[in-house]
Amino acid sequence: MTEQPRARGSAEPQHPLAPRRVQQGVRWIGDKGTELSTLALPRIRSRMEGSLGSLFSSRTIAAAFVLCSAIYCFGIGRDRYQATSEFVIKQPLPPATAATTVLGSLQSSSVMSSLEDGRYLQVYLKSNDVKQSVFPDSASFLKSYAPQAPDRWSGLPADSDEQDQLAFFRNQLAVVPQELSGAIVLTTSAYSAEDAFALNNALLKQAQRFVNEVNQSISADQQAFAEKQVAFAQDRLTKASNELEAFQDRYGQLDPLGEQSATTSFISGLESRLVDLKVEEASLRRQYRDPDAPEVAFVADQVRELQRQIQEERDKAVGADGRDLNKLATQASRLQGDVEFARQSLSSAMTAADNSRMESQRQLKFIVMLSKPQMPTGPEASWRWKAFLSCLGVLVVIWGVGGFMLTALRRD
Amino acid sequence: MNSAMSRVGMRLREGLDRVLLQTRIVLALSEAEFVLRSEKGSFGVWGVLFEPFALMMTLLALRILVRLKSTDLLNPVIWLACGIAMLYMFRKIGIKALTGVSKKQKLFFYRRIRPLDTLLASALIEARIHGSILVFVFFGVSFWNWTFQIDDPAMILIDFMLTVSLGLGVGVCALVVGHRLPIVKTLTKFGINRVLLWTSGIFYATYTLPGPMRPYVTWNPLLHSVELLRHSLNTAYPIPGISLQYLMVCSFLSCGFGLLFYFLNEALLLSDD
Repeated sequence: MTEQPRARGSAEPQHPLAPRRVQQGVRWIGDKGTELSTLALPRIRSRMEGSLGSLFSSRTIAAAFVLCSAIYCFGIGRDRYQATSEFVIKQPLPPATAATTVLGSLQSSSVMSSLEDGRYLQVYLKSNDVKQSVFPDSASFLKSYAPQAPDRWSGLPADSDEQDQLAFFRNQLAVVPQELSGAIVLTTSAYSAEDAFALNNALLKQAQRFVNEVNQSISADQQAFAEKQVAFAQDRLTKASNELEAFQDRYGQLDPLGEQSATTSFISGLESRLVDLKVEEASLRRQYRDPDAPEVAFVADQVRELQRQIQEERDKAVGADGRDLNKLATQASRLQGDVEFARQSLSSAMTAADNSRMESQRQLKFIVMLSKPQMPTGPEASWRWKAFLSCLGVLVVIWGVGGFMLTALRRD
Repeated sequence: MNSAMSRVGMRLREGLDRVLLQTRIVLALSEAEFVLRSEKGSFGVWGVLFEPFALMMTLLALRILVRLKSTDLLNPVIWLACGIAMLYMFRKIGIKALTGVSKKQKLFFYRRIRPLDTLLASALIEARIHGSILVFVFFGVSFWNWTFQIDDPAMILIDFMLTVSLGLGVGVCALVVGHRLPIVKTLTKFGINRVLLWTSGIFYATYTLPGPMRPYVTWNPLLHSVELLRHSLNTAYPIPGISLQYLMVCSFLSCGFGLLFYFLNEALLLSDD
């Protein structure tokens, strides 16, 4: 198909859409011979004039909305002033961990730490406590941010309650932790340069106080825990030592293990002697025909006595009526083990307490100012464009999405 | 003096009428395309909207299955929806510009309708479809989580418009140049379908890439568009190496060259392929 110079009058609708386009009530505009009055685009003209009333009204509303937005954003709207500061929460690292990372892009632990603190600050600085600290007098807060003519919409009405005040306070500040650098950007806005600057400074003081308080609180908790552990270990050592002393007082200073060893060797000696005597007795019995001969009876008596003595010694060592050296040795060993363990526990607890004290001193965090707040020299103008474009955005969304949905519903 | 003023007024009025008439033509063509598409699709008029929506849901499901790493600064669904909506809008606009003119030859029977009008109409309907999807996903997630955060709505508007004009500009450039050098059309299609998918930051955030890797993806203006959209939802979302100026320059340059090539070669496009 080549371009047609003109298809006056005789142009039959060849386009497949054409039959669908013919609708009841569509009015023909102008000369039917022109290309625009063909069946392909009757909707254009029908929209232009057929339903002019409805379109006009929606257009009027849209135009009025845009006009009102423009008047408010560029005319009536009060000046806003912004003060911005940037800081980082730094935690000194020991030289071993402060070394550079293998890949430069990996976030170091100090960045992560600052980022984490920044997220805490993000919540804390928007809390009611901070609002009360910065504006202890509610009346002065209301007065500072009271609406002023001709802009009666922005500001804090005089009859606003605590929730409204807190919500308004939150809107006046933005705490944005920077993911890559760990820096925290604090932006405050107000209706005068002085207020914005003062609010930023007050919030910085609150941030400083928060960081210090958190550090001190953590350090104090860690120190208290470590000291408690030392005291506990000391108590245990004292108790174990006292038990060992009591045992030794009761059973003397002798070493049960040594004594047991001596008794064993003593019995072994007796048994050795018994073996010798038994050999001698057997020899005498072979020499003398009479088994009751005095020489034989003498040795036999010695053997019996020695056996009795050995049995007595054994009973003394392990029997119920004796000293029961096995039990005593076990008990002594346990008590000495307890004392040794308590001593090591105390040593570990003291080392941990010492480390905790040093760590708590080392891990103190500091707010390092990267950019101090400056007194705004002029009002912030970007909000006007942003607000106006946002209004246009609302219109575009309503037209784009709403109109699209309506068309789909109508066609469905 | 008065007659001169009235002549200028008349000229302005005539110019305005022409612009309004051309706008109405584009709107009407857009509506006609909407109807054609709804007739072609299986699900009627709602299919036009829900087919891209289903694609987005598929990619979201894929993300959940593969457990791709995203960021905790934005809701993962919104984060992914931003990338997919912008990329697919750009892709559809660009590819439609490449192929759409030859399919609309019958419409050029009407002298008022020019190839550019059909391209604008396609761009308009794609922008509305993908904008609607973005709005639905955003409001759906916001209502689900009961948190509503748009830090910079003006930026969203600008970013969206620039992306539409970028797609249109790239498509028109490739269309006109491709008429003379067909290989350009093939290369552009390949670039839009393959290369852009992996360099537009749909599945990753720029700031999670190591510094030396970033220049390999930040040449892509669509990455700037996607990341700026995410940044405008939450200003804490970091955008290293991303700038609105770059997107603006790319968009204006592509549009400018596209229009220049178009008006120099309009007659070529009007003729049958």
